[in-house]
Amino acid sequence: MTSNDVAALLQRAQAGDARAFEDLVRPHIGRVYNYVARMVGDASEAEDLTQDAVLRAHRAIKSFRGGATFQTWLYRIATNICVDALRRRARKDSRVSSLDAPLKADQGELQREIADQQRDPQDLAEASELRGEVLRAIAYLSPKLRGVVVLFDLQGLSYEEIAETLGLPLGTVKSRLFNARSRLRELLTPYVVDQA
Amino acid sequence: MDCPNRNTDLISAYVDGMATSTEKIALEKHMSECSACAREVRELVRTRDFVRGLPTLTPSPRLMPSISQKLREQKVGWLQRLFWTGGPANLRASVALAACLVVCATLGVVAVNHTGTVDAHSVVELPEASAPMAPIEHHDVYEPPATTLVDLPVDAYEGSCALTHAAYDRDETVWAVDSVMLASH
Repeated sequence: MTSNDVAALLQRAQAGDARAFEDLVRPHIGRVYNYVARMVGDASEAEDLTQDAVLRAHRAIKSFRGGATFQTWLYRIATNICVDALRRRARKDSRVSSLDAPLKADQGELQREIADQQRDPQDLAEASELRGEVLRAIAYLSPKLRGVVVLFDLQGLSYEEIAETLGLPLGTVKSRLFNARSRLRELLTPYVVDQA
Repeated sequence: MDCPNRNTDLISAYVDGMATSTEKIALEKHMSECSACAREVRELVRTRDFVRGLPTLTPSPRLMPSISQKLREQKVGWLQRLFWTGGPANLRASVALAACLVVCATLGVVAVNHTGTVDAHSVVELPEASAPMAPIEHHDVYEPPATTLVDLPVDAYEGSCALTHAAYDRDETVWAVDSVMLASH
């Protein structure tokens, strides 16, 4: 889809054409879903949240001014949806509220998240020990750190796009990414340290 | 042992693959002499590769049809199309226009009932036309409710607030007709 096509669809969507909005959003659904799924760590919940993000984008499409790309705008909405969901989850069970806690502190919660991950057949394919550990480590990051590392390493966004998506200064994006990596390195120590 | 010359910005850029060639050469030279930094970089690169090695998840085939259906259900009502086509400023203009039309229509009906024809005298005797405009002033003092998310200010939220704003205004001016669509949010 060329930028002219996108602009035309956007114009029609902003004029209330739901079909145009659908065409505009369809190419991004898969990526947004992957982002949301990695953020909340639950493939099934991610579908509902992706849908919520798209519907919210539809309601707010007239406020889209084109300062950001449509994709980063959509990621921004998805980020808020994820943060909302994670906060609801944290309120629901106070044990989840400390996402930065050491691994040993929340064993019970860890088990529950692994079970969620394995509901989907695709997640089952990820059930190797290392992947499980990596997913667990990501789940232990605070949403702020998790968002940056997922957007950069899994979604392939640049520093600038992440800054635009999360409304952060570029320096903050870089430092959060470094902090996220350092925290993951700590959590994955048995797998990343030199064997020699 | 920690390196006294450890440069986290440089290490970070190197691991992210964003270091310039000059920076790369400088860090690699340093790492050849500093085992602590070399080890940190190796471990961070390994960590990065583990994360990047996670497969891309794809949604079930029913997600897009489900979204399409929800979008159809979320159709904008005709009244909202009329009054919400360009943000709050346009809403206020539309409200003012609608109020004027209502006043003019009322004046016309009363004038016709009074004399059988529309003439200037019958219009002069009617009450002040400004009264029905009162709800519009409410926009000037209205403050939208705070969003629930404070650390990630976004346009979308502004959009959501604007819709809420509109709903609130409509409630105030007894335009309950759009409340169903907005309540679904």
